[in-house]
Amino acid sequence: MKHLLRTLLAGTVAVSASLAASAAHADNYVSITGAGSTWSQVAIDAWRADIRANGVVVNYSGTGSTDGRTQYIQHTVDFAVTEIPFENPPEPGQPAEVPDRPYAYLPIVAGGTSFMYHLTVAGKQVRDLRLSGKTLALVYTGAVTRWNDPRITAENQGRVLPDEAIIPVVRSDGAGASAQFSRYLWRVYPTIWCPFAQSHLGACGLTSFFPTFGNAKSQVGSNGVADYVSASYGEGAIGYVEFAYAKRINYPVVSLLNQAGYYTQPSASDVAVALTRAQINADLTQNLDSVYVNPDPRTYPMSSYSYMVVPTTAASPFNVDKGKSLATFINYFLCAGQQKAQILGYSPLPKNLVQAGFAQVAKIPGTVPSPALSSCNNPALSVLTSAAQPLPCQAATSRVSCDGRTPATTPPAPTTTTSAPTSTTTSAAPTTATPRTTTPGSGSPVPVTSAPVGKTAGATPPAESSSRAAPAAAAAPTPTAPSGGAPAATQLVDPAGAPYVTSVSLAARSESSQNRLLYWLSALVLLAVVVAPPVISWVLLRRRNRSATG
Amino acid sequence: MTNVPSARVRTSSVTPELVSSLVAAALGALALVWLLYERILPTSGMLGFWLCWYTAFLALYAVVVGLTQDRLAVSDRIAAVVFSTAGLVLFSVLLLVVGFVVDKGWDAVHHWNFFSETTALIGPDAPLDRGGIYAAAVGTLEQVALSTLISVPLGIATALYLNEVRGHLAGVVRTIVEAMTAIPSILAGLFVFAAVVLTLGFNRSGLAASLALAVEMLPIVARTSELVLRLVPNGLREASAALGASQWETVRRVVLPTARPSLVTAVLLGVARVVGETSPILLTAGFTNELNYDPLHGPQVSLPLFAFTEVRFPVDNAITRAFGAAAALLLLVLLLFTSARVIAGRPLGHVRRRERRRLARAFATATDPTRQVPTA
Repeated sequence: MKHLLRTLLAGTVAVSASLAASAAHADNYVSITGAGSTWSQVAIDAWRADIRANGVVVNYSGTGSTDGRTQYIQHTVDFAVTEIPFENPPEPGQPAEVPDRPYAYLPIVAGGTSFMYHLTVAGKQVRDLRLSGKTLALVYTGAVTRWNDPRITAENQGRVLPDEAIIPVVRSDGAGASAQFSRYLWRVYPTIWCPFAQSHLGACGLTSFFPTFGNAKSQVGSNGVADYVSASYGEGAIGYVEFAYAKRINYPVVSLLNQAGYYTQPSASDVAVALTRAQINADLTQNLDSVYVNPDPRTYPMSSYSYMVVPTTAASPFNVDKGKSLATFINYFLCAGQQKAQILGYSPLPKNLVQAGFAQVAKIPGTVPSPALSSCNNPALSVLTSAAQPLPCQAATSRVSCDGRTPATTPPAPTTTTSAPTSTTTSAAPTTATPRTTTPGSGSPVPVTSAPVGKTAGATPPAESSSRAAPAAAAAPTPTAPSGGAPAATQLVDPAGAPYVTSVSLAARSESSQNRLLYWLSALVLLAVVVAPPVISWVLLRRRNRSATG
Repeated sequence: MTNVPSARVRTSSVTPELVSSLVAAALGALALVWLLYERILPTSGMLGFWLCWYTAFLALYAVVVGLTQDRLAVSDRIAAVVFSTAGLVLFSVLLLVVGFVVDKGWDAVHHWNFFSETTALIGPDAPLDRGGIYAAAVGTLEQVALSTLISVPLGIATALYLNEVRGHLAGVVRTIVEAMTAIPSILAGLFVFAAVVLTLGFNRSGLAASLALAVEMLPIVARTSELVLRLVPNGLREASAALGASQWETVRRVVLPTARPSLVTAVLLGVARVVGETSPILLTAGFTNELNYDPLHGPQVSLPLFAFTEVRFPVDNAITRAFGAAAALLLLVLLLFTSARVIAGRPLGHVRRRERRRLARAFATATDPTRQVPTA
């Protein structure tokens, strides 16, 4: 019955989608089961639906990386997805994880650890916060506790943020995001992280369970963190989530300082560029030390990728037939599936990681051959040549912020505000950048002019910034003036048409006149309340008495 | 003489005076608290504002009523307001929960395909006019039916042991059953996972989920059934025994028929308790987007698990689908409770008297103790 139904369904799809070639063997595929990372779950769910049209049934349950690894050890799943390798030696207080069936690690999808924040200045949400990894390390170890800390001010071109407490939000459940963040802190800032980790965890290393400290709040799940930060009581909060969670509710994420001195967003292309320096250890685990300090100015430093743990022998519950399904699935998501990953807020895997993945697919029993790189439809294979360079205003040394504010204490006139970044955009070529000599069509300044849309935090939703990745931006036929200066200038103006400071004071003035009206109204109501009830009751009583007597 | 009773009647009905003093107190408190709380004092916030408003409202209302009435009437009015507010708050919380879920899920629910298709072929970001919760609904119905099949005979048997047999272990069993109602539901899932999936090597499936749900459901059915059986009057049992019936016959022909409508309620309460449980099935059912009619093999999704999975996705359509599934689940629970009320008929006391009369008549007229009533 089930078999019949599946065949029927697959048949229908094959006809309608004209996927005859691959669907002819639809009934040959055996369903496979996996569990693990919630971090990668959205991407896997999308790939599962895509590959299902070819007859491969993938059952994936997002029970968390730790559970995924445990289930792999317990032989209850065919594959597991996790952000960190099997823990041997384990984290403090956890048992060692030693699977008794052979396995290989395979990169599946990349992403940047994004820091979503909720900060309001004069009734207006701050959308262009810039921080370095060091400042974040200090925030997440309890050393920097106020938003007006001079170290934060210095990174934001002298702009003083309000005197509010920083509420760092961490994950209370065992999370890959916590592991990725703590690994960054551990590898890059051991002098800050290790004393903190020693006192809270008893050992210096990465942890899936980020300790709570000082003012920190812990929340379950990325959606819990995103909900806390975006809630009305979340003013002053900052939390690490997958970029998609911030993007969905149009919340800003921190621009992080990279080795080249640019503050970048965790966009798909900047993460992919960073991961081109990812190295793979002899035991197939990832080594991101060179990713964190990648000298490319387009690097988002806190980038990482998650693994799939695949069996390399046909030990139960795995077998050769399942190997065929699994290999087909993996070959799909390493190539065309990576486009979907980008849409869902992840970053596509760059070439080096795709090749590493193909090498592992070959070890799966019953494997099918991987496609050649030339026919692999992965958008990030040539990310190094196609990714757009950062704007000059993103540089640490820039005196002009990306939304056109200058750090001067006096509010600039509108004309200077708009012209300042324009001139820098057009005249100053990115110093460390390799000139974009790429596919025909993107040699023009198209990516440059489309970039400010995403980079101008506040003017447009950050959804734009992910589309900045190479093929999408290059393919988009954007009619632009050859100089590229004019469109950039118009985009850099505040949508309200007024510079930042002026719009705030205007809003404040209209608020105060509204207040006066409300004060008067309330005074009138109070007066009515004091006077009316005795009068009404007096009238009512008199009427009742009159009707009783008369 | 005519004056006094008419005045008394008026205090309990709605008068212009009552309405105007209520409205005036409410508005006055609103203005006062807004001025004080939001403007003059350095405080702000929704919750604090409304709490202060309510306090000020009560105080003002007491003052306003006190202008014309004596102290007794004032306290009467205040008590009336406080108790109606309590009821109103409870009701509005319920309304808010249902309304919130239905509102968030409406975009998904109003598509017919939401109930007739599965999510096997669609990803998390697919439009809402494709895919739906059919597989999850099938899973929920099968798992709940299976767990009912397991736990109801066991639960009622336990209740009979506790209340009719009254064996040596009755006290111990009762304590265990009571303790079982208090265990966190995740433990039921962990227990079945450890015992059935890991030790016996049984795969994650609908049956494993049903076992976990049955563990959760058993103490509720047993406890409620025991309470229901306790309400069957002893006179019936004594009469039955006096007529020469054995204990088994007494239970089968007197006690159980008497308690039948209430036993149905007990079962439905148990069902309603487990139908929305997520944690026991989290570890035992596995997750799939495929339609799986077979609870014995392969992972099987259910409504709570589907909602729990989809709501965590950072994709709008997936979240809407999750709320749609939650709305469907709410509807299912509502349906169950409504049918429980209908089947159980009127409150227990009433049913008991009617049953007693019918049974008494049957015992009195018939020589053999049959359940059937010869006369209409």
